[in-house]
Amino acid sequence: MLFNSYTFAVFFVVLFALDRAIGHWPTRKALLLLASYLFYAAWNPLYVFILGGSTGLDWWLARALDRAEGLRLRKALLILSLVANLGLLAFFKYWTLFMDGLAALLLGIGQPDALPRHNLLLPVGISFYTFASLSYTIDVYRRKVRADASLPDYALFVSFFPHLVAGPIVRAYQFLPQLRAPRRATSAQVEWGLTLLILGLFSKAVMADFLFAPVVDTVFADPARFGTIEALAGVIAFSGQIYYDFAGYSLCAIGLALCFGFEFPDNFRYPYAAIGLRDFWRRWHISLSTWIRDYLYFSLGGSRSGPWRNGFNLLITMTLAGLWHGASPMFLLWGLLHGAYLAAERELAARCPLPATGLLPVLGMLLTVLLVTLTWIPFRAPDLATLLGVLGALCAHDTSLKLDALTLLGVYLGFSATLAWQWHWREGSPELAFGHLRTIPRATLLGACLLLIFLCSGGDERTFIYFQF
Amino acid sequence: MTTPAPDPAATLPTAREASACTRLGLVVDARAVALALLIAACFIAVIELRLHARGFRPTVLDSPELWAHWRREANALGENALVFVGASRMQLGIDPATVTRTTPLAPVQLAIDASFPLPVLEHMADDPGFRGHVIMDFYPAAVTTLDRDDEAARYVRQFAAQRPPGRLPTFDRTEPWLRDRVRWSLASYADGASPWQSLWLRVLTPAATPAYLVTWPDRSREADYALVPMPDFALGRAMRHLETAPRDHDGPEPVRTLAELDAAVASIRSPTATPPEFLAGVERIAALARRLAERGATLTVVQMPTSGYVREIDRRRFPRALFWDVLAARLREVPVTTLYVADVPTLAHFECPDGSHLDRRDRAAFTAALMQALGLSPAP
Repeated sequence: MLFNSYTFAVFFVVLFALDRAIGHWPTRKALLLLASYLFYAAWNPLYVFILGGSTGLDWWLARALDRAEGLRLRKALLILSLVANLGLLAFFKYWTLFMDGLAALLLGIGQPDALPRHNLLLPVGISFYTFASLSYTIDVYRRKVRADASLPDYALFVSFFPHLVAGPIVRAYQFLPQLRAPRRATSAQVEWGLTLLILGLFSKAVMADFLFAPVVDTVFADPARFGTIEALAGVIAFSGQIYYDFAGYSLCAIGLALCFGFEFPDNFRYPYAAIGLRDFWRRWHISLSTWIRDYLYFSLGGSRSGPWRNGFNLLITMTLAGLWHGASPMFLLWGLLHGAYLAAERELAARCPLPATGLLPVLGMLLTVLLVTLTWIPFRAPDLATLLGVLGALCAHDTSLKLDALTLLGVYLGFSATLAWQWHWREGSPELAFGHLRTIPRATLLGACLLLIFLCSGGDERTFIYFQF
Repeated sequence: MTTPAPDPAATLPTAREASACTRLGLVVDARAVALALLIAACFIAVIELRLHARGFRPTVLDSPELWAHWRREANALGENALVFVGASRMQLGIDPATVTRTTPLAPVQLAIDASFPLPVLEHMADDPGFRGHVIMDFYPAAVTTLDRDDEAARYVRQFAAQRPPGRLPTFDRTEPWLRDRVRWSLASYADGASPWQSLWLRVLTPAATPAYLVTWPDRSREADYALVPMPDFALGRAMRHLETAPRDHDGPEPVRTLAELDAAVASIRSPTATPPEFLAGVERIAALARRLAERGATLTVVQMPTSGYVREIDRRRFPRALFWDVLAARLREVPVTTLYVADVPTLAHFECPDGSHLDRRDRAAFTAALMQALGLSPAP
């Protein structure tokens, strides 16, 4: 069920009304759990069993881990949790790639490809709820949280519909304590939650789908047709599309949770205002980057083992982060590039730190956006041929325009405005930005957003990009 | 071996990290969202009123989901299904109510605007669950260009990829249903436009083409050509027909004026022999008709009426002797019923105001006459 759908609008209104009408806290939690499973079942009822099975296993393992005293037993239980969760994720994400590779190997040694193939449909959100669930067992293993949640509470933490299918990756220590005492959203929380929902839908429907996506689709479908100006517009447009698409989804999720009185952490913090790649990853998909930092990068040794080892750790971490998105060499390349940038930046920053004032921070921000934007090309390109096609088009000296000039202008202006706005608010927040506005200007701004959401509807329907991961 | 006891200092705090909730004190204003909803609703109401004042009414929006519904209906009706396949001429020319009134069969409109009918015909021929009767609109280019990846191919692909409808109200069932109910109620979505297009092209453009087309839930359509400026509208149609239809390498260039249109039509060089790709297309249709006949289903091919420039362009491009007569002779061997409307006195007098489609005032009479000519309804 998509947040920008009519079905979800009905679902939300009914659930919100029921939630407000029920006073008994355990009943309200049961209602939210049931609603979250319905939300997931609306996509594919059968895959609810995978979600339920994974939840039940991790809850049981975490309790066993909490009770166990022997290190060996605790390690064995943790490994069981890791194998079960990551095995399930790997099976659905990488089985086809694995079988294709095996078939190529067999053909290479002259054997026929008689391997069975299964057309596996990736359970939506599996990458997100697996990571949320894993964080619990690892934190219990590390004795950072107690496994004292009841099964219904734990199931609600894993499946709570705002974050279930595309994050933010909420951790047990962030969410489970919120279930202990009765809570009900205040009118201020509901108002701001709805505001975030409107801003999120605006980001998705107007900026991502209406302004940027058509240019992205056209350019990446046949990059050889285009010259530098249009290819660059396509690349910039994807940079804008993926930001507004995913940050929009996160805003919706945070806003929806707030409407029910729950608090999610920030997932984006003006990432295109970052100065350097380390700064970028502190601002982009924060819930994933901190998850990977805490559970993978630190486990590998982090930055404590010398520059070469640290560089290696960064490469491994970011490569795996790339592969988390899917079984594609393009995601692998994207992760490798980010790992390499981070390692290089770390060394560079140690030798010549960037001054905090003057023009250099602005240049640093522009360089970071350029690197990030160019590195989105392998992320968006479905294969190497498209990647090379786009890179070729960027260098082609063809000034004739195949795309509508107004559309191109919209992309360049839209992206420039995004950079200026993010730079202006880079140390702020949406709350700070809105806090300056009185009722009438704020209502006018939100009303304009709603009107534009309506006006930009009715075109090609696009799902949220991160649903595929 | 035992693990150390949990270190309270290492225990992570409950969520008080940077979040919308921790900064909530900055933003409290309970009236803003309600006022925003009111502002947006008022603007949408103004747009709707302006569209209504300009004659635009909410209409059904054709979609792969609506088509899929009627495609399933074609199977469910069994031998009683009378399925219409083709493009806009079939959608605008056939009145389902007249079919229901004059024949014992149940009409199913599966024609798709601006598409060639072969993918739909092929889909039904390959489906053992379909046992009804098909009436297909004949247009020579549709037989010559068989594998065009158009809307018909997309609708069929989407239908084939769908899971069979179950009892559970899953998202892929509820969403199209709700979306259609909303969009069929607002003039901003009339006839497939987006609200953005409606605002710019229908509200803010003084010379907007009036709403002359209505699509009904049964996928049939009606055109009221009394609402459009004639003859400009018909000439525009003729120019588009000339430009979009297949041309020789040295065929006419896109035209701009009436004189240029006359010259372009006059310069069309008719072929001197039936193209081999057309013959291949005819064989493919014959094979599909045989496949349908194996389980008692039937195929009828009809040449729908055209008028004026459109008829003249088609007459020059696709001379009857080289196209229709060849097709009819081959299909009669299968056997397939064929009907050229100009040959039937009760059908020959119907005129298409825009050259290509019947007016809403003629569709009931035309449908009744067509059903009678095909022997599906008794003579009056």
